[in-house]
This record gives sequence, structure tokens and C-alpha cells, in this order.
Amino acid sequence: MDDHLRPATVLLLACVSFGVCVLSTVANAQTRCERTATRQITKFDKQIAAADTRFSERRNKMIAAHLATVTDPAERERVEEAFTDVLTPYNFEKWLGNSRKQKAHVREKASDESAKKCEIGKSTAEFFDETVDEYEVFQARALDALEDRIAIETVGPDEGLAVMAMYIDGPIMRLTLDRRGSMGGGRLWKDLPQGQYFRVIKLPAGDYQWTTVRSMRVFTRNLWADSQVYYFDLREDDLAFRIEPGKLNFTGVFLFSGSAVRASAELKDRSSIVMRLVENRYPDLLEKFPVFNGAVPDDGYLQFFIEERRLAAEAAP
Amino acid sequence: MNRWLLSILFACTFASSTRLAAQEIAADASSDEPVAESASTAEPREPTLHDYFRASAVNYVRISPDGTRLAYTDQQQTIYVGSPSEGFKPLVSFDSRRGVSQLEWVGPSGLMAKLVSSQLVTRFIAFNVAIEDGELTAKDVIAHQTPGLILDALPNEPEHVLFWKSDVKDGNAFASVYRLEPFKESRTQLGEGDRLNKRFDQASWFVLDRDKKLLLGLDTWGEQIRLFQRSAGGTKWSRIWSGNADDQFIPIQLSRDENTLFVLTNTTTDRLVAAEFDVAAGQVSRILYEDPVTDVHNLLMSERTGRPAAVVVNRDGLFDYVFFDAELEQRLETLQEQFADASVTVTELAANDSSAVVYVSSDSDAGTYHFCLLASAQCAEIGKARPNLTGHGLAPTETIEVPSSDGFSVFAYLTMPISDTDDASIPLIVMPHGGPIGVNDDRRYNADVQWLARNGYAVLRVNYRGSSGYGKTFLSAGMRQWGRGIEDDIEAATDAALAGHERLSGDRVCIYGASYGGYSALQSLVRSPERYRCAASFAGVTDLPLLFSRSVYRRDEALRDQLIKMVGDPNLDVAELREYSPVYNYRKITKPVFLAHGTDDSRVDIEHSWRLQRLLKMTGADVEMHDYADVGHGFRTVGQIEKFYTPLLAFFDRHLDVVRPATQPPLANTEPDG
Repeated sequence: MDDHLRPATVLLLACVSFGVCVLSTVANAQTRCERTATRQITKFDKQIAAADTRFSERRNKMIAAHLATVTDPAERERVEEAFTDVLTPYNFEKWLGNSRKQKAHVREKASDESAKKCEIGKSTAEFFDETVDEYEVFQARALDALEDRIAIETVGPDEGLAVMAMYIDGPIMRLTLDRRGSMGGGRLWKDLPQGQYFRVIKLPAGDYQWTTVRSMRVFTRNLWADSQVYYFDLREDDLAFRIEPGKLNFTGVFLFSGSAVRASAELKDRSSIVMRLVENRYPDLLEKFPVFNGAVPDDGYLQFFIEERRLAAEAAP
Repeated sequence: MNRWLLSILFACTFASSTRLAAQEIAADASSDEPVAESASTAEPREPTLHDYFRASAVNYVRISPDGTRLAYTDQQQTIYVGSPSEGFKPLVSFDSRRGVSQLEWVGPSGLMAKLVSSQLVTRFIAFNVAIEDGELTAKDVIAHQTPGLILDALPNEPEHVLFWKSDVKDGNAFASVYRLEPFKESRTQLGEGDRLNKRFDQASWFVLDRDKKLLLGLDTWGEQIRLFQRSAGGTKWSRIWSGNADDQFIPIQLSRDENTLFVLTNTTTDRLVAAEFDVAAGQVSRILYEDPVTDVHNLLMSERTGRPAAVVVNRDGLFDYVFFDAELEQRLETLQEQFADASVTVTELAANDSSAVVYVSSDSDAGTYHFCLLASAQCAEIGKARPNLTGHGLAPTETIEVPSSDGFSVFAYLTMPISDTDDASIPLIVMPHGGPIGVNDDRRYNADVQWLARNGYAVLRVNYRGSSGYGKTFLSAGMRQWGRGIEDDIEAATDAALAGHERLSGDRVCIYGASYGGYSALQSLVRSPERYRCAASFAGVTDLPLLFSRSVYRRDEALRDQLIKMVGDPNLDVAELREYSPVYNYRKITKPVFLAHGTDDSRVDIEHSWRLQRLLKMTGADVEMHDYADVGHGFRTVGQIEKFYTPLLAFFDRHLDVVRPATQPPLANTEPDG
């Protein structure tokens, strides 16, 4: 090769070579990005699958332990149905819907050839980890509900069933229910989620009162920087109910609303709404136990409704 | 707690939605719609539901101290200042979460507005109106974050205002009055140093003397109403009068010699009268005016004489005046001639009675504010309350007087739809108001009524026994008449309306109301199913004993006692309460039912509608239930109202055989949700 041409040739080769390098770098980055996304998604799917396995094992073990004590086939069938009913609201597939959308979004981002840099990294990994944590909390709540459901299969002579219905608007870290005139027998709820809570639990017979809420006042959107923990004393708010032994006691609907400005709690007599929930999730309890309105004992609606429903059923062809 | 205050409270309790949705709707006033849009510039178009229900485009019109300017708010988010001749300029705007609930001139050019948020947090904004580069502008804007209201703007002390604030202690309300400098510094709380009644905590309201010092204090929270007087030049307060807590005693103004307090009261009469109260003697000394039919609604004071110029009475469902001041009477009569048969109401009298703001409304005008110079009877339009209804006409309303079964005169208002055809059969909707005690209907603009009429329905509203405005006997006659005497009156009025109007179809009648009106609609299906084709209830009571389950009634004895007086005792009369509850009579309900309820209704819980719905569904009855998230005992936004009326009109159409051409849907709405 002519020496005079050498610099130009070198330059040309360098340019070609550099261009290839640039293209190669972009392509490699893209592939790396997709690989990262795939790795994160695979890890996430494995964690979810593992969580599901653990959940199933625990659920099956709990149910099996109880069924071991039940010999009557009809009763076994009732119990199995009851356990299914109580777990029905815990729809894992629905819960995971958002993470499926997020997975699709991550894949799309990772394969976006027009992106200048890979956006799949630490933040998406954190999102998947947090989702797994939250999923496990959700599963724990389902198991907790199942545990309560199994517990109410045996009701002692001094115990009653309490239909607990709450609507929470604002974060609740701790909610205390105290049994009047007793050091024990109350119940503590921790980290209640926003929205509706509905459960039938077993409580010693007696008079109860919602007493304290530990909550957070959120002043801005920056939850952690600008919020403060507050206790709200509910003892003067007449949020009380009675549990009668051997009965399915409606305890009203506990409504809590907390904001930066004020917090309020109320106990409402919403027997017909609660009855609808009981019919859907605890139908067998309505067959087994007499119903009592423990929040407003002199409200005759529940007995009237039950009687009218019985008459309607009898009259049905 | 004072009983008449309680009755007002109760009136609100089961009646906030009496005018169902025709309350002040501020939150979603459309920001793209010009305020005071003139009829001549507006493009004619078919009015929508939003045009009927949106809050008035002109509110709180105030004349400046020198009489040269006016200030007002639009749908309560923007304050305008100007004059009819130079036009109005928006000076200060607030976000849609806050609405103006008081507007006053303070000093020669200052304005102070009270703002209330949707969470009922109050703050005040003060600013000066200045001219810069020939343009009106707001200067020195300052905010005060405190509850209360402006008691007196102290015209002779431009730097100060008197500020009233109420604190509740042990269930009683105690008023405090503060002397503040609104432009000096932003206040977040009111200090004891500014409080004028440091040694007198018993009053809930104060009357000022000519030096703007507290002279009389009224306590309405005890077993009796009590009036106290401050000693001359001192700080000692002595009781000078006391009266029955069930009665009303409303101080209006002191005479210039401070010997006479002009009041509205019913302490010595059945109906509310305008009277003079002799301060030295401690008694009502003279009745200025007692109407033969209705309570006196208000007293119009003359700035020129310092004496009552006229009483405002409800005549035939509209405000009317009975004058004491011949000069003012002559001036307003001259003014009235300009507006033909329209109703003219003075909302403010200023500058020694030489100028006034008047509100003019008629069957063809949904309300227009004018600024008038009374000597020359010259008026200039400030703005229209509902500019988009201009030129479309309103459905006319007439008054019906009916004798009740036990000797009362019951007044009802029938609104007939505007129709281009001679439709021989017009369907009727009977619409009982809420309350039932201490609330009334009148002939003034009502969005619910006009919207139903716009959709082809005649609407009948009845001031049944228990309604306010007709004296104590009539009011108390409604006690414990749920499902009984009240509905007798409604049925008597309906019969009279049908008998007097051949075009009304007696076999095409539905009944619909909110709160107590919802109860009345449902219970009417129980007691008189043959009269109605259907019933619709918004926020209606369905189970009378359930009213007592609210924890507020369990805790507050006075409230509970008042509810017992109104409805019955859940301990002693539970059988009676159940007898008149739609829930316990659900088997008798055989006609279609429409139930609607807000999930956040703290006065009548949504459980009421749920109970009836669940029972009716067991019988296979024709029932539809609509629940509305974020809706309380009334609607806050026009969007919510629209979501309510869409299925409601379809329900009425279906059951009253209203067939509309495809081009004429029942809801001619073209606007997005507010």
C-alpha cells in the first residue's frame, strides 16, 4: 500500500471500525437491558411461585388439621365450603394484575430500541421486591382470615361470634378493642389496610368498646418526611357493642376517617349491609347461630329481616 | 340548647336536600363560562341540566361605602369589582375547593371575604381595591386563618372590623367578639387581648350601640332565651329579659336613641312579627306588623331614618313588602313599574336609601341583579344569576290554597311545564319537601322543579303542616305526624291540583322527594298505593327507629329529645314508629320504587335505603337502588346531580308513560361532568 494513502486508510478503517463499535455498543446495551429485565422478571416469578407454594402448604396444613377433627361427611363438606368462602375475597390473581402490567411495561422498555439508555435497573428491581413483600402480606392476611375462620368452628359456652366490619379511610397502625371491666379479652389490629375489612371472629361474651387508634397524619404527599404518628382516644365516642354467648353478634360498622386536618370514628348500625356480607361469606353461620345486634340491641330490623326471609323461603315454590 | 335553634338544626338534619340539588353548587362551576354573560351576546342553545343547577353566577353583591363601586362573587370562586357602567373586573380568584360565604367592604376601598373549604375549614382574605395604570387591581392581599364571621365593618373606623366567633363548650355555643385590624398582619388565631366580651361568656349573639360597642347580648342556648345588657360605660352585664326557649327572638337593630330594639319575634304571638322591644322596660312594647297568614320574613332598615322601612313577608310564595316608610315605598313602587309583574327584592340599601341592589325574577327570568338609584328610579344590570337560561322561559308556578282536614290552610305550589302542544294529559310529580319541621317551599326559582318541568312534568310542592313560615301552631301541628297528618295535607293538595287542572292526568302521578320527602314518597305508597304509579327517594328515611341509632343522638340528650318530639320515642312508641316505617310495611309497597343514597350521608345513613331495598327484592318488587360514592345528604357538584337525574328521569318516563322522540332524550345535556 502506498505510504501516502496510509493515514487516510487508517482513518477510514478507524471510522468504520468506530461506527461498528458504536452500533455494537448500542446493540449490546439493548440486549443487556433485555437480559436484565428477563432476569428480574424471572426472579420475581420464582418468588411469587415460592410464595404461592408456601401459602398453599400452610393453608392446606391448617385446613387438614381442622378436618382431621371432623368425621361427619356432611359437616366436612360444610367446613370445606366455609373455608373456601372466607378465602374467596383474597383473589391473588386479581391482586397480581398490576404486577403483570408492570412486567409487560418492563419488557417493552427493555426492548425499546429508540431508548438512549437502559431504564431497567435498580428501581425496577426494587419495585419487584416490594411487590413480593406486599404479596406475602396479602397472603398472610388471607391465612389470618382462615385462622379466624377455623377458630370460630369451636365456640365455648362463654364465647360469641363477632361480625367485625370496618371501613378505613386513612392509615391505621394499631386499633384497639377493649373488653369492659376486664384486663383481657380485647383485640388489637395492626396495620389495617385502607378500605373495607370484614371478618367474623370469636370473642368472650361481654361489653366491648373501641378505645384507641394509632394513626398517621399525612401532611403532604411525602408520606415519610411529613407525617406524624398520632393516637386518637375513642373512649368518649360511645363506640361500644355487646357480645352475647352462643350468638352471631353484629357489632355495627366501625368507620374511621383520618386526614391532616382531623380524624373521626363512628359506629354505624348497618345491619342490612352487613347481613348481605355475612350471607355471602359466612352463610353457614346464619344456619348455626341465632343473630343478635350487639351494637344496637333494641333495633328490631335484623330479627324482622330474618323472619321475613324465612317466610319468603317457605312461600317460594 | 335553645329549642328553636334546635328545630332549625333539625330542619337542616332531614332537609338539606329539600331543594334536593338546588343548593349552592360551587365546586364544579364551569370555569370556562363567563360570568354575567349578557343575553344579547349569548349564542342561543338548548339549556342543559348544568344551566339549571349551577350556582348563581352573581352572589353577595355589595355596594362600596362611597356608593361608587360594587363587588360580587360569581359561583363563589372569583370576586369581581366594578360598576354597571365601567364593567366588572375579576380581582381575586380562589381554587375550586373553596367558596366565598361572606363578602364585605371594610374601610373605603377594602374588601374582606370569608372562604370555606369543602372540609369546612374557614379562612378570610382581605385586600384593597386600587387603580393602577387606569385598571382596577387588588393590593395588600392578606389571609387570616381563623373561623368566624365579620360582625361589623365599622365604617367610621376604616382600620378595624368587628369579628364574631363561636366556640362550643359543654354542648353550648358561646360567642366572642374581637376587634381586628384586617390589613395589619395575618392572623392564625384570635387573642384574648382583642376580645371585647372578656367578662361575658353567656351570649351567642350581640347587638352593638351607636359607638359600635357591645350593648346587648342574647343567650339562646339555655332553658330560656335571655337578653343581657351591659351597664352604661361599664363591663357588668345584667339580664333584662327572658323568654320561652321554644320561641324566636331575633334582634335586627337598635334605634338611634338606643331605647328601642327592633326585633322579629313570636314570644307574644303565634306568627313571627316585627316588633319594638323597649330596652329599659325589658319587654316587647309594640307590634309593628303582624301578617294574617305568614311569619314576617325580615325587616328592612332605613339607613336614612335608622328605623324600619318595611317588613318582608311571604305573599303568595314570593317576597313582598309592607312599608312603614312612605318615601321608600313610593321610590320602590316607581322602581317596580320598570319590571312589570316581576318580583323585585331589595338585597341591599345604601347611601341613605338613595341606592339599592335589587334582585328581579319572574317566570321569564331566573333572576337578575340590578343596581338602582332610587331617586331617579334608574337601574343598571349587574348580572344574571343563570345567564344560560336567558330567553328560554321558566315553567310558571301558581299557588294553591287548600283547607286541611283539621282546619288549617295549606299552601301548595303547582308548576306546569311549558308545552308547545295542547297535551291533554300531563304527568304530575308530587314533591314533598324535607324537614319535615321548620322547612318550606316557595315560588322562587328552584332548579329541581324547573328541570323536571323542562322534561315535561308538572310538579306539585306542598307546605304541609310542620312547614315553617305559618306560625307556631302550624309548625307544631307537624310533630309526630310522619305518615299521617302531613301526608293528609299532601293528598289534599294533590286532589285540589288535579281538580283544578284538567290537563293534569290523575292516573299518571308519581311522588318523589329527598330526606323527609323521600320518606313521605315511600310511605305514601304504603298508605295510598292507588294514588301513585311510582315513588322515588333520595336520602330518604325508611326505618324510624333507626334514626335513633346514630351515636350523636345517643350521646346528646337535647338532640334526642328534639327528635323524640318530632318523630316519637323509640323506647315508648316503638310499635308506632314501626307502624309508620316503610321498612316494616314493605309488603304493602306494590308500585315501582327508585332509591338513591349517598354513601357519605351522615344524617340519614345509607342503611335506610339498603334495608328497604333488601326487603323489596325478596318480594320481587320493582325496585332500583343507586348509591353514590362521595355524596352526603345532598349533592356537592352538578356532575353528581346529573348522575342522579339521568336514571331518575328514565324511571319517571318509564312509569308515567312518557315517550320521547329519539331526538329528544330526557337529559339534553351536552357538557362534561363538573
